[in-house]
Amino acid sequence: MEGYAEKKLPGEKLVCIDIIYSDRIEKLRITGDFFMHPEGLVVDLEKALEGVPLSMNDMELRDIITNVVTSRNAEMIGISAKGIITAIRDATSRQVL
Amino acid sequence: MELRTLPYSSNSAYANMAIDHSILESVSEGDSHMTLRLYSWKPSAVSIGRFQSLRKEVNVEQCKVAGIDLVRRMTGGGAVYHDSEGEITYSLIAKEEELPQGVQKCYRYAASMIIDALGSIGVKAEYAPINDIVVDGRKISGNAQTRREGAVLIHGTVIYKADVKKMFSVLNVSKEKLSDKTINSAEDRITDVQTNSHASIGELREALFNSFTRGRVWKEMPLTKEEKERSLELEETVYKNEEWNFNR
Repeated sequence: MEGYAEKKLPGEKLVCIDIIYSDRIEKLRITGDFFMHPEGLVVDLEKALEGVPLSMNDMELRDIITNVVTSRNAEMIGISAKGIITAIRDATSRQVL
Repeated sequence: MELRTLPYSSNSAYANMAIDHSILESVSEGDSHMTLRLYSWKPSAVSIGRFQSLRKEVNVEQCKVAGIDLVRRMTGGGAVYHDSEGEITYSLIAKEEELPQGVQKCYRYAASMIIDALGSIGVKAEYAPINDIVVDGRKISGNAQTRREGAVLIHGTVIYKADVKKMFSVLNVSKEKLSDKTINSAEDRITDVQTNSHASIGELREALFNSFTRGRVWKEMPLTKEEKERSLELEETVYKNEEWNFNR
């Protein structure tokens, strides 16, 4: 299935999720007007989340995101793990026909 | 000399982004001093942020019809319509240790320069974190930055005369993006210098120049031969390349 959602948490930037999924995340694309330093972080986050079962709870998904950010000594500005997870949940609850 | 200033120039979107990129590399490598550029875009252009989807953010067909260039920046942030007659863009490239430490502090620093410049021409503006400057809640300037090997590029625009009709004929703005704004219409979120001051665009340019150079020893110098060559290479291989511009 395919899904798409946009999420803007208060004080943050717009996060858009394009997703192909089954019981897990098959393919993920994170776009929006946020900032990441270094910029390559976004691809690492997408790769880290691909293959992850959607049955994981938000805490487990947050740990995956936080680990990638920490291991790269990276910084996310205008985007948070919560924003990404909320957008993923929205995108997988509304199927694109 | 502490700060190199480049002569004001108008360039294509591809050249503008390639020049900023090549200076970032040369400053990072220690081949050039801290550099200030003021420039405009000819023809008018839309630049999108590093992480944005071009097709979602921009009406690509309308841009083609109107002769508006499209380019993806190396910096994050949002899509911007750069009117060839209606705005001034700046870029400041420096070693990390020459600017306030940290991404957010650099935004605050650049914002303070722009707010001072606007103040000197009678526009009372304020910083709206993360990266905007507003007048009465309406955006007059947006800014973005990136870092490479110990160097920082901050660039941004100041709107002199907003053509909101054209701006929103080429930019797609989602309802979600406006969800936490007190002003709900994208058109009403924008203001410009002309609405708030009698200053000419030349006076805005001069005010920005004076603000960014104040208290610094500066000298106007052109791009180095190496920077010129590298920017031409980046223009062809990156910024004109559809693989880059449509990569998200």
